[in-house]
Amino acid sequence: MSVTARIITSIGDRTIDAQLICEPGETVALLGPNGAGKSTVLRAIAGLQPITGGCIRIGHETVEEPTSGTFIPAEQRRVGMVFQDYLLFPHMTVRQNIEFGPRNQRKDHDVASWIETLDLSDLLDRKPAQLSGGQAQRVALARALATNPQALLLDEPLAALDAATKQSVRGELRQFLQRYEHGTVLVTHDPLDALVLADRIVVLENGHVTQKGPTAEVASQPRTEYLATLLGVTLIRGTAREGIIDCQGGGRLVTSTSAAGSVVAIIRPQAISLHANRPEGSARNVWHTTITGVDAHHDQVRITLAGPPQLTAAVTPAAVADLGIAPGQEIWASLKATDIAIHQA
Amino acid sequence: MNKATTPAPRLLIALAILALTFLLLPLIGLLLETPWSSLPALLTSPAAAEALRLSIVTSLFAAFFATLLGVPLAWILARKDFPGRRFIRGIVLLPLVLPPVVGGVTLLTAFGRRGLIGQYFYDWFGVQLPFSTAGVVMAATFVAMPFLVITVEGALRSIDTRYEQAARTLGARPRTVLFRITLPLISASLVAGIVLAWARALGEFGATITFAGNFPGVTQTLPLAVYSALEVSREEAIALSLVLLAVSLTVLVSLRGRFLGSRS
Amino acid sequence: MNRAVLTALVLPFALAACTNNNDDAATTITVSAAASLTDAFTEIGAEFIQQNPGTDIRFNFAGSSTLAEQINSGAPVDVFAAASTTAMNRAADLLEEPELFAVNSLTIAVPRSNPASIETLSDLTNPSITIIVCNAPVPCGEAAHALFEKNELRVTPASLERDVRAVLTKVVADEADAGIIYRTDVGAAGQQIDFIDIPDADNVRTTYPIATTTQAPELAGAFVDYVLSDTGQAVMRKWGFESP
Repeated sequence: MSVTARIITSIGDRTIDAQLICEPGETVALLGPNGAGKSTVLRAIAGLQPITGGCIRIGHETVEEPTSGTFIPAEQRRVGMVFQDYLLFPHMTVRQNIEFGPRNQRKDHDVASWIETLDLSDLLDRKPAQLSGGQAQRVALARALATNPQALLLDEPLAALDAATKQSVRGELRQFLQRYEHGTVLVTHDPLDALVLADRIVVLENGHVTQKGPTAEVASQPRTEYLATLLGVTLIRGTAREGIIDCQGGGRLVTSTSAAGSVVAIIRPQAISLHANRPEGSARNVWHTTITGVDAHHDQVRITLAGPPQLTAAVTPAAVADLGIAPGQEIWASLKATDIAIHQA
Repeated sequence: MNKATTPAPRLLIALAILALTFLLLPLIGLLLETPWSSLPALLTSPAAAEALRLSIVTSLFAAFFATLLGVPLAWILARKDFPGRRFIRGIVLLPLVLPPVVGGVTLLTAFGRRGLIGQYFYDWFGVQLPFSTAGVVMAATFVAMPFLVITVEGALRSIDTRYEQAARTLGARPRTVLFRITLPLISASLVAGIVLAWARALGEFGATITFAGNFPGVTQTLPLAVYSALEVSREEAIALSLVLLAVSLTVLVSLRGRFLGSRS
Repeated sequence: MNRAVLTALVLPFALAACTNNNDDAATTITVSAAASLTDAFTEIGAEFIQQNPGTDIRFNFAGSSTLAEQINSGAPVDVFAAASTTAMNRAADLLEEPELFAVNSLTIAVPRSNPASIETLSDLTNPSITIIVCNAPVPCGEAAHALFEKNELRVTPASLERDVRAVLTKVVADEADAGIIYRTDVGAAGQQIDFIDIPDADNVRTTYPIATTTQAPELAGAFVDYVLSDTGQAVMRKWGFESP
C-alpha cells in the first residue's frame, strides 16, 4: 500500500508541516538533522502523535484528518513500525515478540516465513537481552512484518548498531526493501542509510521539507547547506564486472569490489585528489577533466568535475588557492579504487 | 569491601550504628522478656488462634482490594495529566501520614451507621460496616492502599512508555497493552507493593479499633489482641507481639528492598 | 572527628536526662485516674490548684487496667485513682494503702433517637441490636459482665472498647444502639444521649479506690486528702458519684 501524508502538528514550540508520498514497493527516506521532526512525522503516520492539520492516508483509507474529524487509533492502523532501539519486549522471547502482533489480530499470519526469511530460526527461544544488535534488528523487523502491515515505518533502523555491523546490516536491509511490496518510510540522520536504502529522499529541516526527489538527484545536487555538508558524497549507479564499473550515464570506475551486476557506488569527495599535472601513484582512477563548478562550504570547497561520471571533489580553500582552481579550468583528478564503497543494487 | 571502595566518614558509621542500636534494642528487649516455655500454650489458645486467623484473612483481603483499586489509581496518576493531579496524589497518600486513629474516625464519618454513605447501607440493607469483619478489611485497605499506589506509580513512571507504543503499532488494544506489556514490565515492583500493603494491613491497629471495633473472632485482629492482652497478661501480649514481629520480619526480608521502587 | 562521634553518641542520653519528669518535686504531681473520673477530677484538680497556688497537676485519664500497667512499667505517676479494686491491686506493689472515695453504678446509654427502642435491661439480649461495652479487663467492662451475670442475661456485644469514654463516643455518634456506661457519664454526655436507668436492685456497684505511689511527694498526699475531704466529696456527688 502507498502512504500519502501531509503532517501538520507541533511539538512544544516547534511546528511541523511536511508532505510525504510513498508508493507501494518504494522506499522513501526522511532525512534531516536531529530535532527536525522526522520521528514525529513517522509517529504521526503510525498514530502515536496526533496531527492538528493535514491528512494521512494509507492505501485508499484516510486514517487521520482533523478537518473531518477522522481518527483511526494506532492499534487499528495497519502499519508496522521498527523503533530506533527496537523496543523488543524484554519479558518475552523472540518467538513471543514476533507472535505478539498476529495474536492481537487473532489471525494466523505466516509468521514462519518471516522467521525463515530473516534467519531467526535459531534465536526463537532467546530473550532480547541475549541478542546482538544485528539480530535484534532482524527480530524487530520480523515482529513488525508478522502483522502483514500495509506500510513499513523504520525509525533510524541502523542507529543502534556499531559501525562494523551497520555496514553488513545495511546491505541486508537494502536487499530486503528492494523486494518488499509495500511502501516503506525510513527516518534517518545518516546520509549513507538514505543513499543505500532509499529510492527517494525527502529532506526535513526544522519541521519543513527543504528538498525532495530521487536519491541520486538529491544526493548529487544538494540544495541546502545542511544537505551538502551532510552528504559530502557522490552516488553512482552502474554495472560491475571484475572490479570495473560501467556507470549509468557513461564512464568507468576501477574499484576493488568482487560484486557483479547492478551496483551502487558511493564516493566521498574527500577521496578525490586534484593535481595540476598527471599524478603518479597507486590510484587506479586517474583522469583529466574540467572543473564545472566551485562551491565554498564551511571549511572545504566542493569542486564539481565534468564526467561522465560526474564527480565532486572536496579540497581545502588553501588548495584551491594553490592550484588556482576556477570553473572551466582543466585539472587532473585521482581516486583510489579502495575509496569507492560498493553496494549490490 | 575492598580498599578501593569509597571509605565512609567515621561520623556516618557512628550514627549508623546508633540508628541500628535504636531499632534493635526494642527487638532484643522483646526477645529477652519472651516467656519461651509457655509460648506454645499462649499461642495456641483459642483467642490467639482466632486473632491470628482473623488477621491473616482480613489482611489478605485488604491487600487484594488495595491492589484492585490501587493499580488503576496508580496508573492514572502516572500516565494521565489532569488539573489538580498533585492534590489528588496528596489525598491518596494521606493515610500514610495520618494517625491511623484519625483514619478510623474519618471512615466512621463516611461509612458509619450515620455516615455519609454508611447511612444508606444501614437504612436500606441493614448492613452495618462498623463492628463487622468487613469493617476491618475496609480499615486495613484504607491504610494499606497508599503503599501500593506509591510503589506502583513509581514503577510505572520508570518504565519506558515506548514499549506500550510499540505494542499499539502491533495492534494491541489498551487492555492488551496493560495486561501483556505494562503489568509484566512492572511485575517485580507490583509484587513488592502488594506485599508491603499486606504487611501494613496486618499491623493495622488505630483505624481498626476506631472504625471496626474490638471483638474476638469478628474484629479482634492480632494487634488488637495484643492491646487487650496488655491489660491482662503482659506475657500473652509479648507472645502475640512476637508472632506479629516474626511474620512482618519474614515478609520484609524476603522483599529484599524491592519496594524502594527500583527496577527489577 | 572523634569528638563529633562522641557527642553524637552521648547527646540522646543527655537529652533524656534533661527531659526527666522530675520537675520541682514539690509543685507538680501526676495523677492517673480512670476515664470515668474525667470531669469530676478535672474540677477537683482546678479547685486544688486554686487553693494551693504555685502547684500544678498533670492528669492522665484512661482505662484503669491500662493505667495500672503503666505504673508497673515505671510510669512516673504520683496518684492513682482506679474504677475498681481489682485494677488497683495490679499495681499494689508500687502503691501505698488505698482508700475508697467514690461509688458508681451502671446505666444504659442509647442514642438520642433510641433507634432500637430499648426500654429495659432485658431488651439488650435482642441479638439484632448493636451493643457495646468496655473490654473485660477494664473496670467498666468487668462491671458490665457482672451486671449481665447478676441478671442472668446472655448479651453478645459487638465490640469491646478500651474505656468507657470510647463507648460513650460511639453511642453519641449513633454507631451503636446501646452502650453500658457509668451513671456518672450521663451528666458528662449531657443532651447528646438518652439513658435507660437500671433499677438499684438489678444494678452493680463499683467502688473507686485512690492511693499515692510509694515514691510520691507530699503534695500527692495532700491531693488525696482533698479528694476525701467534704469539698472534694461534694464535687464527686455533683457529678453523680455516690459516697462510699
